[in-house]
Order: sequence, then C-alpha cells, then structure tokens
Amino acid sequence: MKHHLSREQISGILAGIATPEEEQHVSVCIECNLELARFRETLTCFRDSVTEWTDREGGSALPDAAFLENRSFALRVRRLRWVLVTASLIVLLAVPFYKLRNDQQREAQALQDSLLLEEVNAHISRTVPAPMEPLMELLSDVYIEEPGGRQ
Amino acid sequence: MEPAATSELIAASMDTPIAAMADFDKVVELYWSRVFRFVLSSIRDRDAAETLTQDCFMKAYRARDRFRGDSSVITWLMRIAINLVRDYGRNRRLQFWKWVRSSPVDTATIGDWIPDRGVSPEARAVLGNQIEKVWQATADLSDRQRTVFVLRFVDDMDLLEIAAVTGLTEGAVKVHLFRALQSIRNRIGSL
Repeated sequence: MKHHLSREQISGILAGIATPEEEQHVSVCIECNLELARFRETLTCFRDSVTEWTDREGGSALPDAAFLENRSFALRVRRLRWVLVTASLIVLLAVPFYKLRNDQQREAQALQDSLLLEEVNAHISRTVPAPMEPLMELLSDVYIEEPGGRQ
Repeated sequence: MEPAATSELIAASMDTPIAAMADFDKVVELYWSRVFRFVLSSIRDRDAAETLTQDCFMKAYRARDRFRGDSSVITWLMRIAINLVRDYGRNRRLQFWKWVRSSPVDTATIGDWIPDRGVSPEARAVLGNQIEKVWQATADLSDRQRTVFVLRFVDDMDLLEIAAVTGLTEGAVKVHLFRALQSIRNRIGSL
C-alpha cells in the first residue's frame, strides 16, 4: 500500500473491519500509526470525561438500599391507583346501562300491569255471567233481525 | 474506569451469574454506576437517567427468578437498559410535554471533565474542544449507532458483548460502529 490511510480506513481499523493490508500498513507507517493513536487518545479522553461527568451527576452514588422495597411499594400503590381508576370508570360506564335496563324492565312491567287491569275491568264490567254470554248474543241478534219485535 | 477491587468483584460474579443474582444488593452495588453511565450518556437527562436506571434494576429484581444465567448479569442488565432507553426515546418523540418538562444537563461542558493528565493548558483546551465535538457528533448519530458507540467507547465492551446486549450480529455491530466513528471523525476534523 503506497498511500496513507484515509480517515475512513482509520475508522475501519477502530471498528474492526480493516483489511489485512490496512492493518499491515498501519503497523509500519509512522504517520498513519500516529493518526490512529491520536484518534484513539481522543476517544479515551472522551470516555474518561464522560465517566467523570456521569460520576459527578450521581453515577457513583449508590441508591438507598431500601429503594427496591420502596419502589415495589410505590409500584403497588400506583397499580392499586390504576385498579381504582379502572373500577371507577367501569362503574361510571355501567350505571347508565343499568339504569336503561331498569327503565325498560319497569316499562314492560307497567305494560303487563295495564293489560291485566284491562282484563280485570272487562271481567267486572260484564252484565251477565260468562256462560250466559252466547245466549245474550243470540238474543241481541234476534232483536236486530225483527225490528218490529218487542224491545 | 472501575476501581480494581470492583472489577475483580464484577469478574467473579460474571463467572457465576445465578449465584450473583442471589444477593441482589450486591448486583445493585456492582453494576449501578455502569448502567447509569450508559443511560445518562445515551439520553443526557440526569433525572430521567436516574429513573430509567432504577426501572432497569426494578425490572431485573422482579424477574430475577427467571434469570437462568445464559448470559452474564451485566449483559442481562444492559439489555434491559437498552430497551428502556429505546422506549424512552420513542415516548419522548411522542410526548412533547416531557421534553418541555425535562431538565437536560448542560452537555456543553463535557470538555471540562477531562481528568488531569499533566498536559499543558493549551493541549487541554485542544483536547476539550475535540471532546466537545465527539459529544455533539454522538448526539446526531442514529439510536443504534449511538448505543453501539457508547457501549464500545464509553462502557469499554468488546464487540461480542455488544452483539449480545443489542441482539445484533457481530458484523452488524462493526458496521454501526464504523458509521458512528466515521461521523465522529468527520466532525472532529484534523487531529
């Protein structure tokens, strides 16, 4: 390999996708080796800076030992809250349906009651007992056929 | 990165992942800072990072009985953390109010956190400037590229570990890493 490695090829070496020729070149070419070392150094400094920063932000401070229990409790409370909310929603949605069903039942019952009442009314408003009703009908027919007859 | 004693403990626990899960307080003690670092580097919001890290350990705690030790504890935790970060990113895109409410940390000062290596103030300033550019370039990467980059160059994971925690093939990890490095290298300019 006559030319120096490009930035892309240097990145390829760090990513582990370099060809054997590129690996060979970087091991003998001082300039490319230096370029690779500088990039590595930058990335190492980057890692150290991020580590310092995350430690400062609380990464090295371990949580309270009881946090798992506390979190478990908090999760249980949160879950219970969701259960209560869901139950309330179900009740709120069910009430109109229940009311509607009740109203329909009540209306049906009222209809049945009024029919029964009509039957009772019809029964008690008869002028003759039920077995005599056919006779009464015959008599009324006779009166209609003989208008001049006795009323 | 990790103090020597902690690293040894991590290594020891990785040998027997199921045994490590038996003492969950120890798991929290060993891996909290690593998970927090990954989450904070990914989302850059301290409060949200703390909540997500807690959620990560909470999920692990509740599912610890189902942990069969097929992978190391840190691989398992990181897998949970990656999913939480991804879900957080989705929710954040959908819920504008969350963005309004959040208090992102001042990331413009990341270059101020270079550990003292006895370099001259001039060299430190140049390095600080480069680190700022890396940080800014990382923010512009795709979610997957950022995850792979942070795991490799902040969390120091090797390619196979990254493949295990992300569920990608090793080849795909290399491709994402290459693209991320290319973007970052172009942003830095001359070294």
